This record gives sequence, structure tokens and C-alpha cells, in this order.
Amino acid sequence: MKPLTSEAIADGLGPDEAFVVLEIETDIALDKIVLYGLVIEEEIQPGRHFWISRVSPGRYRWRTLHVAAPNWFKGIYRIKRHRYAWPEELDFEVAAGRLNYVGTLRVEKGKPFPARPSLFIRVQNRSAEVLRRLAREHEDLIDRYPLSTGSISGDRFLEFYSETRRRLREATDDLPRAVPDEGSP
Amino acid sequence: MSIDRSGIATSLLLAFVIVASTALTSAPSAAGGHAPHQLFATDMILWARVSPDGKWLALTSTDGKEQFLHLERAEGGERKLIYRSKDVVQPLYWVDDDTFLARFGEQTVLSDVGVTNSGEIEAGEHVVKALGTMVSALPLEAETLLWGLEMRGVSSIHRITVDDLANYEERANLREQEFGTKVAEIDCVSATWLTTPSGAPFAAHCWNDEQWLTYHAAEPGGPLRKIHQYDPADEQGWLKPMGPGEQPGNLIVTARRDRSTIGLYEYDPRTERFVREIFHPEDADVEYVRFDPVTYEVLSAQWNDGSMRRFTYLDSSKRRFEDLLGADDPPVDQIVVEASSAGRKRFVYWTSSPTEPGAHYFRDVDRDETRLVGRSMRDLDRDRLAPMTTFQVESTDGLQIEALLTVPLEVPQGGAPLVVMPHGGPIGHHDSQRFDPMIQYLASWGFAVLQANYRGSSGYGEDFQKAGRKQWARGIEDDLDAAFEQTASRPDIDASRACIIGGRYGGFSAVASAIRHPKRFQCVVSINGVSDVPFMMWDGSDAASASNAKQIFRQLIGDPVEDYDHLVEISPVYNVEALEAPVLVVYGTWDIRVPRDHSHRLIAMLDLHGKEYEEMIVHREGHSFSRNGWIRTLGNLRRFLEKHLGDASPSLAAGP
Repeated sequence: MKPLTSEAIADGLGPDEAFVVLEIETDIALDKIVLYGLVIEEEIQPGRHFWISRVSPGRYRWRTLHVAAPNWFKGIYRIKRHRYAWPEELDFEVAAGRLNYVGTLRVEKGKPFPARPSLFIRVQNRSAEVLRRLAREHEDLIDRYPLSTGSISGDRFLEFYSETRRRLREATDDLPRAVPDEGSP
Repeated sequence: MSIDRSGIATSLLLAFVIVASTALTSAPSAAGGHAPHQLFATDMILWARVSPDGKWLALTSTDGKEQFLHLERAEGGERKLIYRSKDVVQPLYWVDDDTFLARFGEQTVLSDVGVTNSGEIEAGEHVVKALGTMVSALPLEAETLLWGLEMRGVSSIHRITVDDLANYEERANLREQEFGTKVAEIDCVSATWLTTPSGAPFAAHCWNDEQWLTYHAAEPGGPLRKIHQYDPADEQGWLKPMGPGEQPGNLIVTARRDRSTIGLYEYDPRTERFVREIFHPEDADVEYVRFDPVTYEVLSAQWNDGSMRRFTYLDSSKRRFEDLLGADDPPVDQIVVEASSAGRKRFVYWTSSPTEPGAHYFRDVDRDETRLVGRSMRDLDRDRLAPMTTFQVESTDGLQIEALLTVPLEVPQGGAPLVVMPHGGPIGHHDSQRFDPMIQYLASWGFAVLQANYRGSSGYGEDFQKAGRKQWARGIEDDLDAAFEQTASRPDIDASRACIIGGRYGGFSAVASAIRHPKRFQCVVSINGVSDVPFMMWDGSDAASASNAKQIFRQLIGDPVEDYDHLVEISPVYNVEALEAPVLVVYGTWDIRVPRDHSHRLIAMLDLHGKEYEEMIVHREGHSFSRNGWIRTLGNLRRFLEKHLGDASPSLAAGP
């Protein structure tokens, strides 16, 4: 899986295709992220990344992330389930013909100078923050495709937003646009 | 699909983003109100201790940057600086009449006191970097004390002399066994030791990485055996030794004893029975217990009587503190006796109130004199702080609740604009009659502030607290409505100019209330507010990760699956359409209890519906803002209020 260019995003979806919206926030460079059914084999530099990719619909699960030498944190890390989390937190469903936000993968360094390198790895739900960025950078996509929360958590905010947006548009065809968020005046 | 550009322009005009910065808000105040930094000043007296003979006070204080150790002559108050440090200061102790020690980080400051021939204070200072902490002085042995160590999961106490401590660093590679005389040890950490005045341990309370453990010795100084253990999640299991019981071998403990609140009891560890109830306030927890440092008698219990913090004195001594106070001293249940000399001839007490952030007084009983030792926030003008009053409100279903109202010192003709401020929680928290910088800030700028201890608040009993369950955007907000309506009828309040402000649950409540009453409030402020209740239960809070989260959510709020429709019905993000008042959405980027996505959701929906809002991002702040976080926030908060409620200063708001 690779991030799409703006041009490729504009091409939209074919039949039985889905958009995946993914955010990665990492302290260290990552070389590969593996999910059941998907591999992200892209060098990911430290920082915050916002990806839109095109995938086949289906059920996926976060699995491992890989850090290559010479990084002090080199190794393969299992993306673990939160200790007491609701079941299947790491599973997500990608629906055809939709924009599926599947979570924000956060990778943080463990304690400074640990005897053994450790990483704090968590998949977080930042649907609305990502939505606002989508609205800023790819508003046309939100209008063309319904949004989904890919996570199997029961959170249905994006679906509600999408439905409300469609209803308001149909009622008025005069929809206010999102405004920039942090960092903008 | 076409987009109406005029809509974009409107939306951009309606929405503002503020990134909180100190520069915006920390400038000195203009005429009128306080500047935020004045109300969040951090200078205070930390600890005050009277020497056993009552001749001296040792004081530690801070200016917010450094910590100071002073010695003060009890008669006359002449004061001398002994030591200053940037390290955190811990309690200080008098070892005997002439020697005291104080801890600053890892440094222990030992000081001998005296008076020169010319009458000047003389105090030597010897700084030692020693592992461990002082456990207690031994009033029966001069220059001897008990010292606690914690190594490799084992806690121990040692009898050492002042010389042992003073020479600690000279004894390189000192081993634990060589540090004084070991008196006792237990296999756990964070130990609290209880010892007799002669230094014989009779009980201890400590943590073993899984449970809290209580140890007891049948005879003081004898072997300690484990008599109780409890898991932090086991509320009924709570049993903490606090001091010696009246009967030999018994303990004074705090425990629940088949009640939902914590009380103070005498407990017989041999029979595992509670011998007597010493003090268990009706429907409130005993939060803190103080003991006479000399006699080890139970002195006072701290608890919350509704919105009032009270100190109930339980000493049976002939010299009860309530009899030792002067005519001008505060009532005994509103003071904390910090320290006293032997025989209680001289003591230091601390008191606070909504208009007093904290003050220490020295009382000389024989002379019947009380003098001020020092105040917290000493540059704050107390005369410009607004008093707080309380009143009872009958809610829509007849439930009685307590409300707190702070009215500005000067009220314009027509009344002061009103800020309603629901507290967070909601269950088990409450607003109290204490100094609150945010309330005083708003009052100083002309706004009256209404708080209400709605159903579910702590301090009013178990039934009242349980009455708040599953009452989000229902009974809780009914209570707030009743408090608002009663307040609105006052001549000094102009309720036609009202805004509702809340943090955490209070942020939820603020937006939910404005949705319930679209015409009532001219503006709304949500600070780290919950906006989407089902989301909070799934993965929108660290609280959802707790082992018992599902059970607690179901009990207090509802089930995210079975009650989904109800939870959507009460959640602000799904009901923004009804909102008419402009909203200021404030959030800390590091909050994990109510993560910032709650605020982003609210903003996304406000945006979608073309509602007026402002966004304020407070970087590097979490669920509870730090002092700096508030200083960065309050200026913008006031500007937002003045924008929507008008200038609240009496001279301007009164109009022609």
C-alpha cells in the first residue's frame, strides 16, 4: 500500500475499491508496517503523515511494524491490543465505495536510554481531527464518497457527519466549508 | 457539485483559531480586574513547625521558583533565612528544642539554633546528601531520630543520632546495615511507619506492587506481621492505620466498615474487630487525620460538609484547641493546626476561604495573642476578592441542591452578567467554598459566577451521589436549570446576559445546557469537554481502557451498545443543530481523559451547521490545565465573554 498522489486521488474509485485514510505519527523512522492482508512498505520518516490509499474492501488487522538498522530501535514490533480494550480493537473494516478512516498509528520512543529499546505503539481514534484535515485538503472527496470509521469500535461519528453533510447539502446546496485548524490564523 | 463561495466567506468570518500564548494574556491588568498571573501566583508558606519548647518557628516557603527555610523567633517574629534551594521541599521536623531538619530534594539541612550574647538569632546550617527520609523525631531522646530507607523493594527504619546523619557523607560506601541501628523492615515500598514516642514501631502501611498491606506488632517494637491487604480497586477493603488506639495494641484506622464512605475507627488487630467509631461524618469521607505530634492523640479529621471543608477536632485533652483560640480567631472547624509546642501553649494554624488563598497564624495561648506568620499570594489584594455565598435550590423533582454564588464587589445598575459554571466529574466531584482563581478572575472583571453541586456531587451523601447516575443532560442539567432560575430572580444579577462555561464534564454540560435552552445563554465555553458520549466509551478516553470501565460506564452513564440511541440523544455533537449561542472550544493537546478529538468533533459539526464558534488550542496541556495553561487561557476567555455579554465593568455596563 502506498500513499496516492493528489492526481490519483482525484481519479476516484473503481468498482469494488475503497479509499483508506490513515494517519501515522512517529518519533522514529519506520521501514514497514504489516497488517493482515496489507503491507505498507514505505520508508516513513519521523513526524506526522497523512495518507490516502486505494485498497480492496475487506477486514484487516494491525499486526507489526519494522524498524531497520542502523536505528537503535531496530527490530520488529507487534502492534498490541490495549490491555483492557474492547475486543477486536485492532481490526478494521474497509467498505467499498467509501472513505475509510482506519486510525492514527502512534509510535513513541520508550524511556530514554533504556537497557532494551522500547516503543510505545498505539492505534488511536482521531476521526474528527483527520476529517478536518480531509475537509481542508480534499473537500471534493468528502462530497463524492461517504465516510466510514473503519475501526470495529462502534464509533459512528464519521458516518453521522457524512449523512448530515449530505442531508444539509440536499436541503440547501449551500454548504459552509471547513476552516483551517491549528497553525492557521 | 457547486459550492456557494459566500457560504465559505461567512464560515471563515464565524470561526477563529486561537493558539494560546503567554504573551497574549499575561500582561498586567488594565484598571478593573485582576491579571491572570496575579491570581495564579505561587508564593506560599509550605510548612511551619513550632519547636517543642515553643520558642521557635521553622518555616519553609516558596516564591514559585525557589524554596526557602527560615527560622523565626516565636516572640516578636524576628526571622532569619537559613537555606534556599530550587529542590522540592518536604516536611520539616524539630528533633529537639534546639535542632531541626528540613529536606530539599536529596539534601537534608540540619540546623542548631540559639541566640548570641547580643541577642541575635544564631542558626548553623549543615547540608547532608543522605538517602532516605526522616520518619519521626523521638521526643523522649535528645538528638535522636528515626530514619527511613527504601532499597530493592524493602522498607526499613533506623534509629540514628543527629551526628550519624551529619557525618553521613564522610562515611563513604555506607551500607544500609551500618546506618544507625535498624529497628524494623518490611517487604514493600512507600511505607508509612507508626511508632511510639520512644521509637518502637507498632504498625506500618505500604505497597507491594499489587496491593496495600497493613502490618502490626502485638507489642511495640516486636515483630511486625501482616494483618490486612487490599487491592486499590476493592473499595470496601480500605483499611489504613493512622495511629495508636486508646487501648494498648489497638489501632486508629480509616475504613469503610460496610458503608460507602470512609470513617475513623479504633480497631483491634488481634480480633480483627472495630472496637469503636471515633468519627464518621454522615455521608462524607474522612479525608485526612491529624495527630498531636507529642501525645499522638487524634487531633482532627478533615471532611467535606457539602461545599464546606471542615476540620472536626476530636482531642480529648483538657487543652482542647477550641478553648485555646482567641476571640478574633476563626471557628475551630475552619482552621488546621499545623504544629504545636509541648502542652499546646503555642501553636501555628492555617486557614483559607474564598477570599483568602491561605494564611498561617501563630497563637500564644498564655499571652492570648495571635499574629500573622505569612500568607500565600502575599501581593494579592484581598480587598478586591469577591465573597462567595451559598443557597439551597429545589430542583424540578423536588431534590434539594446547594448552589454557590460569587457576585462582583461592584454591581452595575441592572445587575451583573452571569456566568454559570458546572463542575467536572460529574459523579463524586463537587465545588467548594474555597479560593478559586478562575472565579475571582471573572468576578474581578464584573461577572457573577454561579456554581451548583448538582445530583451526583460528592459531600452530600451516598443517595445524593447515586441520584446522579445516568443523568447526563437530564437530571444534572435540571438541577443547573433550577439554580439558574433562582439566581436570575436576584436584583443584582442580569440573567439576560448569561454565558455557561465548563471544563471536562462541565464542558459537556455547558454545550448540552445551551442545546436544551437555545435562548438562555449568549455564549458557551467548553474546556476539554466531552462532546460524544459513545465515543468516550469506545476509544475516546483512557478511562475506557480501565479493567472495570465497561461496568462503571454501564452503572454511571449507560451501555454503549444497548443504550446507544440514548447516548447519541444526549451527546452535543449529534445535536448541534439546535444550538444558537456562539461557542468557544478550548482544548489541551495532551489530554488523554477527554482527548482532543472530542473538541474536533464538536468543531466539525459546528462548522457543518454554519454555527459561530472560536477554537482555542492550548499546547502541551492535559486534562487539568497547569497554572501556565490557565494564565494562557483566561485572557481569551474574558475577551470572548465581553464580546458576547458586553463589558461587565460597572461604570460601562450601567450605561447612560
